Amino acid sequence: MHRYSAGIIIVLILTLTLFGGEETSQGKTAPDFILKDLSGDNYRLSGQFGKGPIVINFWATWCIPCIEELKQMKRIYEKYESRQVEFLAISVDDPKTVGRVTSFVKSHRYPFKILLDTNSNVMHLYQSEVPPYTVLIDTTGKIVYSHLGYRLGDEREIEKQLNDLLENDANQ
Amino acid sequence: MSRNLWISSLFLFFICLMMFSAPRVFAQIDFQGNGYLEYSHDTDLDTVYFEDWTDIYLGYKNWRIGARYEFHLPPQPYSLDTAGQGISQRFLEYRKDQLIVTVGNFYSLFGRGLVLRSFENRMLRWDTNIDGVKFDYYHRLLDFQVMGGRPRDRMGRRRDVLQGGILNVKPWQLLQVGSSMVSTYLNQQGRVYWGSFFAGLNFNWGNFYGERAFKDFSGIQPEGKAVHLSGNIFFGPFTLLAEYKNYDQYELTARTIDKSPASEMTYNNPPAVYREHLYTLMNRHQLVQNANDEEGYLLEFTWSFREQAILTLSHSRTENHKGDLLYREYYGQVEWDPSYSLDFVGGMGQQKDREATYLNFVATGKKGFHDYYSAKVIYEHQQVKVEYNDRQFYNQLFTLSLDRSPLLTLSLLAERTTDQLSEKDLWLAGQLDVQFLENFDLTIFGGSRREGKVCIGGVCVFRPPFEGVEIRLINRF
Repeated sequence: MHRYSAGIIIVLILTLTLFGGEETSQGKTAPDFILKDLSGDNYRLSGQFGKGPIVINFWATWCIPCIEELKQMKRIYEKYESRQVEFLAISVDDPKTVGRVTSFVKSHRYPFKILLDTNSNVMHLYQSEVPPYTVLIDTTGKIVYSHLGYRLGDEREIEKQLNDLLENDANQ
Repeated sequence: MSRNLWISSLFLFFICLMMFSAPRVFAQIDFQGNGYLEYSHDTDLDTVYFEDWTDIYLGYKNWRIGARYEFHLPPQPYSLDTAGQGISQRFLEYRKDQLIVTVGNFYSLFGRGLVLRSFENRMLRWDTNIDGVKFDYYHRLLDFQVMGGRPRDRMGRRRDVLQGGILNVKPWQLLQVGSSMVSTYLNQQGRVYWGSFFAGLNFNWGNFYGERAFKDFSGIQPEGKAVHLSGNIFFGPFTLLAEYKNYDQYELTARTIDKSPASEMTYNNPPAVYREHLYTLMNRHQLVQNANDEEGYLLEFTWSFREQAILTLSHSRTENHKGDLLYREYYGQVEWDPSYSLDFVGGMGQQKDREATYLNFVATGKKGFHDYYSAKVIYEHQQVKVEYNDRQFYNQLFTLSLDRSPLLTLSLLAERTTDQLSEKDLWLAGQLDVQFLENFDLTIFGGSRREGKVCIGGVCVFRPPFEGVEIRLINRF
């Protein structure tokens, strides 16, 4: 009985998600958050709204695809850094591994802003349980793209989305 | 119809209402959510596990509400949850400038987790959320959190009421200092306290963090302490990481502090201070963290000797307070990325715990081609020598993955052992990961998987062997 009722609920939820997905996946407001950077300063996301597109990448030192994606993020950052794009690499390393983040970032020479989400609260706020997870936010603070996981080549879609956003901003 | 089913139906009605009406009628309301469904059929045991977590959130101006519906019919064997379904979490949140007030279920972390850490890790079936009230305040010079509520143990019970807070002050750019405190009331013994002082220093050439925790369970438990130190130094292409731990009678476990039967939850979760490996076999050593009796350190040196090449050397050691060796490791690794679409990693090391000595070797290679395709190979080899009977054997793990960005990954996994005490010597499996309709991620696993310790972010559980089919569907809406 329980399994039967749970099955019905799941089928309904998935159906609703499928039909409602197109409308709800675009244009949602990016939830605001405050996180500490590697210097211990607070960074507030909403302070960046209105200045340009924002790329948020959730990663961890213990996650192989995250490390592969960060290499590509570094390349994208170097390409777009002069175009008012904010790159936030949010580490979800927990207290057991967060001590390694600074030396990991320095040894790999990552140039973007690193934030610490030590209890994964912000990653959950953005609807993901595991890294790597990438979110693209437009200048008005709306989520325009999100992607779970990483395969070589995924970064091309991020570049495409960024180009679209920058083009839109230039036309306005 | 059971009460839970009524609640589930109401929840579903709520989802329907919000899904269809919120975007159209209440344009200012933000509706978000996610689902995580896992079905597995263990053909060896002829058992089906069927679990789901669905979260929904509604935001309106400064307000946000959320709820979670879960079912476990039944849960995986490594989960301590009982079979059932219903609304497991709900919260109301208010944000105004630097203030956040949360009523309902929330997670909390004080410092590096020596004093308090409640968190969720679904892959490990670990969820110790607190049901109560929390105030967070952030300012350039200081931030603090005050909270009170009942934490959930891994069997779903909420017995103790915790009250606590943390204050973090940053008087200068270089320095931050703070303190945390938690207390609870025990029926027989009265109120008990535990807390910590911490400080951090940040320079261009390095950063340092130290935390000293204490507890006052007067007359109930022996005095305890916990110390954690961490430092990073950078000079040119070199970095040095050093960490130290000393945990003595500092495992704070729900209700065990008044000597009632042990539950399966600890309030705190201090840093383990050993290297968390990216590869499976090297995380299967037998060291299980014991915050009641551990002292040790970790040293890690990296050298970026070319633009795309990094050498890492790591050593860690953990002993108990009698001086007995619990864990020791030496490890070296080279990463080399000669081009955008090509990278290699090679590593080797030795680990020793109270059971055995392990000699490890790992090699990986990844090659991209035609823009959206890539292939990856991981080979792990582990030579094992069991201490008490000199038994020797080896384990091998081979993974081949083929990717088509952004749609799918096809993986083949093979593990082999020569351990004569093992019931099997070969495990074979295939896995398909597919992304579709933007927000859906489907994983289908078929085959067999060896038992072993699984660690994510430093938290470990023991997963039993599995043979059968596993399907996982993650969606965001």
